[in-house]
Amino acid sequence: MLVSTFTLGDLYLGIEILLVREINRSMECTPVPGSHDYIRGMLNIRGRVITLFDLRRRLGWNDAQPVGDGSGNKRKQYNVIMKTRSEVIQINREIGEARCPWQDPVGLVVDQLGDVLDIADDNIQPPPANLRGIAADFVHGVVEFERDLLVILNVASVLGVDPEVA
Amino acid sequence: MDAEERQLAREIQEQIHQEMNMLRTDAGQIRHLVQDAIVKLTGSFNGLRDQSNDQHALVTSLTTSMEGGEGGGEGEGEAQKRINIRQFVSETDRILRSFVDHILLVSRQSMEMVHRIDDLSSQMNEVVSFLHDIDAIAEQTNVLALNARIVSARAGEAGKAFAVVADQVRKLSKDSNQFSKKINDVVRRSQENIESAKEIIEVMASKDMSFAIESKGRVDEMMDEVSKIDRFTAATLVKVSEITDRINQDVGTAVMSLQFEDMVTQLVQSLEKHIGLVEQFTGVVCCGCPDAAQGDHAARVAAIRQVLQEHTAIFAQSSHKPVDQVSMDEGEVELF
Amino acid sequence: MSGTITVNRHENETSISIKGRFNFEMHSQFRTAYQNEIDGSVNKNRKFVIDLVGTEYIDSSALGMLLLLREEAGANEADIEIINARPEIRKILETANFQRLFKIS
Repeated sequence: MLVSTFTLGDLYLGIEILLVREINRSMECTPVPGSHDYIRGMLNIRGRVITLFDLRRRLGWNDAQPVGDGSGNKRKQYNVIMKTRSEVIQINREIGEARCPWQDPVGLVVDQLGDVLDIADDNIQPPPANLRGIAADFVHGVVEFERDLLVILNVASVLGVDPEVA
Repeated sequence: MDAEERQLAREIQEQIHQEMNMLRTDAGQIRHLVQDAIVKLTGSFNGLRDQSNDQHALVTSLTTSMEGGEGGGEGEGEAQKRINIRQFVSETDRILRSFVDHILLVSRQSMEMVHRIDDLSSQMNEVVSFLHDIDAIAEQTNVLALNARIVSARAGEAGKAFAVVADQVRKLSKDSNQFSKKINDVVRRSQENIESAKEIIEVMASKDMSFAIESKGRVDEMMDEVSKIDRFTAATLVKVSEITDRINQDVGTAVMSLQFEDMVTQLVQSLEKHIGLVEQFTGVVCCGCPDAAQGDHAARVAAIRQVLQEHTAIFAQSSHKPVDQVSMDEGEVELF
Repeated sequence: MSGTITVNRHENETSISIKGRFNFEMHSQFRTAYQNEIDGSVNKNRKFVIDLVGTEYIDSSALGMLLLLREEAGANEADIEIINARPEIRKILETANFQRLFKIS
């Protein structure tokens, strides 16, 4: 499985790359009144209106903004724009039907971008009980590295969409 | 004239002779005493004049040496060697002035150096802002490459080569980031060095100037003092000169006045001569006139009258006074 | 501790007024006060007036800055007047022989 990695605070996160449509710099978006606090707002990219999820808030963190580097500037963040269900199915029907229940264009706001890793399915393990900073429901599985623990997100549950229902 | 009368006459003559001798001795003594005293007095007065002249010369040479001026006479070379106060004070003034000039030069150059350093510092800041631009480009490159990687993943096996290129581009952007971090570090250390250089220059450039004013004030005061002393010295010198002149004049008068010795000598000589005449006369009167001694009374009277007449004639010849002056004031010095 | 500088620009004249302590810390402010005038000035005969009415203290680095201003404003052609110096500061200026290089009034 090809995984695009990024960081959120101290968390080392990954998303299956087939589910990702594009990545861009976080930019001004239009807030949605009356929505959940983890909905950062609506973003218009080349005519497509995308709902942006603030991943920090979605994981229940208090500090919605990453800590700066001391220079006083807000740390830059990035938007990981997801493919829609139909887009994924066009490429891989099996994955699309199993892991991509959402129909609308959505995106996740993350802190820093990482590498693209190719991970064998055997190396993906269920989340440990002592995993902190993220609820087990949001985790597809973890991969242990020498220094880090890569947490592969279950994007459907992060977005609050039940794959069975879809 | 009988024997008894002659005896009496001889005794009278003898007595007169003794008294005349005493007069002669006294007169001689007066002459010697006066001569002696005059020689000594003349010596003293001349000595006084010489010493007064010496004193004047000394005072003059002392003040000349203090002024350090030329034309100091004999002691010139020595006088020039000695440090004089006016020169000392003006030399101090000159040193102070050049010290102040030096401080100003250092301060001016230091400030110029600070300006150059400030320019350097703002150029460094430009470098930092260029580094930010480079970082931004690297970051955009990174995002682009990541998106390329996402697209290549969609192509599966067909996108493998494309994925390799995308990964290489991402690596380049990361390298660029590392370099810019290193450059940033060097610039930051340079800025720190620049700051400490400025601190050093600040110490060099910043001198409190009150010392210069105080010193200048003191030098000016000294100059005033020296001028006062100079004026006082000049005035004193004039007075000393006047006093010396008056002493010289007085000594001259005194020395000339001492020539009364001549008059005294002449008077004493005249006195001695008259004593001789009186002796001779009494001798003739008392025991003389041997021609008339045996004669009668009339003959003796005639003989004595004859002697009196001769003596009167001699006296008349020598009776004029050798010196008419009664006091030294009279007639002044032209008389001699 | 250090002072403040106010600049007034008229047609051909720049007036720089220094309040408080005129010392090393003022160098940036002082330079900024005149630098634009000199760099951008087409007419070279610009007059500078240094107003010391509020200046309490002056040290050698300030004298250095004034000398540098004179040099950068054209040395012997520079037209710089120092005004309103209090007596003790005037004395410093005179001890430094500034009356030969600046108009002091």
